[in-house]
Amino acid sequence: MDIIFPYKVSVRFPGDLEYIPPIRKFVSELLQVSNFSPKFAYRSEIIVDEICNNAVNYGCRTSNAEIELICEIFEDRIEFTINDQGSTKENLDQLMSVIKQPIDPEKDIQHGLGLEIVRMLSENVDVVIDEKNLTSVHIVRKREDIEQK
Amino acid sequence: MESQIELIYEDIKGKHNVKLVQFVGDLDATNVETVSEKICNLLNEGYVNIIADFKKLRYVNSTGLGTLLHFSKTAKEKNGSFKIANINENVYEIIEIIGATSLLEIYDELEEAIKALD
Repeated sequence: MDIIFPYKVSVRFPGDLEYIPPIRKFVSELLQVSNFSPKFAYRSEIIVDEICNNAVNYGCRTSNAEIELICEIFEDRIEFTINDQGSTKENLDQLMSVIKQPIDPEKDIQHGLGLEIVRMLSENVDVVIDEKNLTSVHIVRKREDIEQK
Repeated sequence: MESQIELIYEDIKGKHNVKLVQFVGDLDATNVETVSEKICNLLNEGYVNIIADFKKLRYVNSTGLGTLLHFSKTAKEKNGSFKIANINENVYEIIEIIGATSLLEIYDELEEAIKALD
């Protein structure tokens, strides 16, 4: 199948962890049919999982909150944008501190590990929060040199 | 929809406080509580040495990793151990990224993990 790059896929889902496994697996399969390697797809699956978990845990303050995941697939990279419907300043500060400074898994085994993984697997992670505390996380992950066409 | 994971238990001949547990599937935030309850039950029942066979564990996220670190810590507090064997390359990479390889007892082969109990 010939793939015409770039293309974009977006999905909106309720702010519930139960929705994340099929979404991360879908992204992984999408990348593999777009000729990215299984390893790239696996690593991207982890990124989607972690960042969606974070959005559900910290960015869903109401029972009907939704998360939006946008995947933009280029020949040489994938870009993810995750929009949630509202975070708190405390959560954002925690997010930014983890992105900027690696955590110690021995001291903190429950918090911050996911963002550390995202940070390590991505070329760039940007977090934007607007005046209504709506959070948007943008991630860029490049295709490994070895699998460049 | 909870991710699929199955735990398969086996005894090891001649080792009364050891349980071999095969993890089959994906370990993530949707099933970590179920898995945690099952492993903690084993530890509380006196199986303070657990060997986790990860040959068929396809996927672990940070929530799952946090739980593995918790199992290791709890087993040590009970003078036991939580050993991991047969880990696949992708799962190992994630443990490595967060710098937790030295916090978990990881063995290439199941036999090595069993032998380390002696």
